[in-house]
Amino acid sequence: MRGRWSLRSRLTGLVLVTTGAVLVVLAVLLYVVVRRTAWQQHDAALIARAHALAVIAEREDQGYEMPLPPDAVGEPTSYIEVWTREGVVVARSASLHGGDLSRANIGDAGATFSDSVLPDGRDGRMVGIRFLPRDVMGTDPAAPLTLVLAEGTETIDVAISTVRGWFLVLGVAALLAIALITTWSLSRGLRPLTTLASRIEQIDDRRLATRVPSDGQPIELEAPIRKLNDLLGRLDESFARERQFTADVSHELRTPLAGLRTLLEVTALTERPTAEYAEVLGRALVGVKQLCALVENLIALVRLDGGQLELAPDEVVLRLLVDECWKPYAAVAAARGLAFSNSVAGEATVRTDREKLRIVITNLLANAAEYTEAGGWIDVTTVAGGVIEVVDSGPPIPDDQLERVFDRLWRGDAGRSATGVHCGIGLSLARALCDRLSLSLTVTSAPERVSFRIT
Amino acid sequence: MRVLVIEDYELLRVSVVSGLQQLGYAVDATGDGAEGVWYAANHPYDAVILDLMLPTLGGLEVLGRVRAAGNTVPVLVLTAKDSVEDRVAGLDHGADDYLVKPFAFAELAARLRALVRRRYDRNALVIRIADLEIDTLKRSVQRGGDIVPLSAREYALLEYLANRTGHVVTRTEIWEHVYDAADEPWSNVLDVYISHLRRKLDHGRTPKLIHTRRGQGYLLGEDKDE
Repeated sequence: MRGRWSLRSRLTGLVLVTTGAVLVVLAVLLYVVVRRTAWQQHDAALIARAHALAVIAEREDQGYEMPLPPDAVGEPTSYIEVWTREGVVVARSASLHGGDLSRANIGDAGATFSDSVLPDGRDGRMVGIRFLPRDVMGTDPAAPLTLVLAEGTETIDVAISTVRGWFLVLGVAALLAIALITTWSLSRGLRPLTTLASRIEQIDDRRLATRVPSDGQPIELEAPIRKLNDLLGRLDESFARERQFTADVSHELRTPLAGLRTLLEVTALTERPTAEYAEVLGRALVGVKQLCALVENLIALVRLDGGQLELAPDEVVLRLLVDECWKPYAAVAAARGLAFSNSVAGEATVRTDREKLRIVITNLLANAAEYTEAGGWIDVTTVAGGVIEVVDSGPPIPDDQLERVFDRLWRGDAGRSATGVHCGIGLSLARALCDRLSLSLTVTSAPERVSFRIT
Repeated sequence: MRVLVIEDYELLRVSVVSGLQQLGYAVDATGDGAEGVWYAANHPYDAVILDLMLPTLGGLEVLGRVRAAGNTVPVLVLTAKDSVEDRVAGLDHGADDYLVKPFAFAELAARLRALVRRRYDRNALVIRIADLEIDTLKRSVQRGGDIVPLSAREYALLEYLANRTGHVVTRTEIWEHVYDAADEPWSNVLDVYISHLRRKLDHGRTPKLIHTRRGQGYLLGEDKDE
């Protein structure tokens, strides 16, 4: 499980880390360059002063003359010492108090710089040069002297640390500014997302007809918004279908219930002879059976939809099954003057789930008993290589409606409610069950002949 | 009172008819919308009970046709749909009342009584004419404080005459409102019932309340002309 994270803070973090890293690298490079340049200038000044001092030295008969001017030491104190090649001290500044500077690192040519600790303990920089003193007499070939000048580095250290401080302060300020700007511009840039989110938040199962407008939205959001709207459309449709289905089912339950309730209430109005009670019970039983058939269909449908329909294959004698399925409709059909014949061969059997096939055939017969025109006929026959065929005398189903009879909740006529078993789920259930049984249910229609065939 | 029931579910239709008959209504019934329109056009019903979901011709269509013919009969709509839209649609098509299935028969009967009362411009359950008192709920009749026992047919006849009190009611009107299509219009029967009513209500009492208008019909009420 990943925790909750926000796109905005993630983007802000990313921008801050990358710009911060670039900023740090730049600052470090810049600092290094500035520091080097400062040291170079410092060294140049140091060496210039050393050369200026060197000018004072003069070659005399037996030695060297080098009177260091008192201001050569300056404040803060510098240290100067001059040697001959043999290591004899020619001059030393008073600040040394007779001590020596190190000349260990002084090379033979040019100037040699090194960092050192001054005799007074301060951090310092030392430059050593070799030079030929002025030879006034022109006696010997001049012997070079070594001059070491050491000065404190306070000034440049302070300057560099000031620069470093500014870099730090400015860098942090820049990072803060970037953070602020990033946050602001991200929240501005992500505003369409926020708007979209709040729009989507308003949508619930009662407001599925809402669509998210894509006008004025960035092109990146166009595709997701389109997808979302498509999805909403499909959801809306299927919710509406579900609602319609639930409503229709409850309506269909209401009518037989109203019949039963009224029958019982009316019967209870007065005392009656026993024979009359028996007749009422018979009527009530018919109503209850219709309710049972409806509920059975609904349960089968729910199980089918939920994919929990278990099959128990068995050898089914078709003729007997058809007779059994017809029984509940025989009386109603007879009242409507329908002639029923079961022409299924007595020996015809099929190996399938008996209960499911019973529901299929029951629904086909219920449909025929209800929709066949009064005075017509219904015939059930064996199909070679198939199961059975239920044929009735019509009225025929128009070609454009043939496949629609298997649609859930479809009815041939809009106001149809009928007996309560027929709310437009019977045929769709029959076909779905046939699919589950690996059978196929097809309908054909001709004048005075409608046929449902199970193969 | 004569009522038409248009309901295609047989169990419900038969039960409602039986119940209404027990309450003394003359009842015609059909399961077919078109047939219902014909019944309504050819008989002066005191109320129509109409199912909204009918085969071939839907309830709303039936209602529309009945109203289009200028028929103002009170219509009580029975519906299995209980959504607001469905109820509004029924009322807007000219229904006077509706009842959602499954309903209590007692409520159907009460709503029917209310519709009939309104049809005859009555508000009270009890009709009083002089010292005659007809309780239409209990279907009991008193004259001067004495209970007058009446048969269902006698009561139905009296209630219809009482609803039209002060008006001369023709024999045809009585036939049409008290008897249903299954009854034989046998004029002698009517005379017999009227004479029964006279004997039970008016015998030995004044004023006489049941009057015969020769060649016109009958009148229930205190007759100022006599």
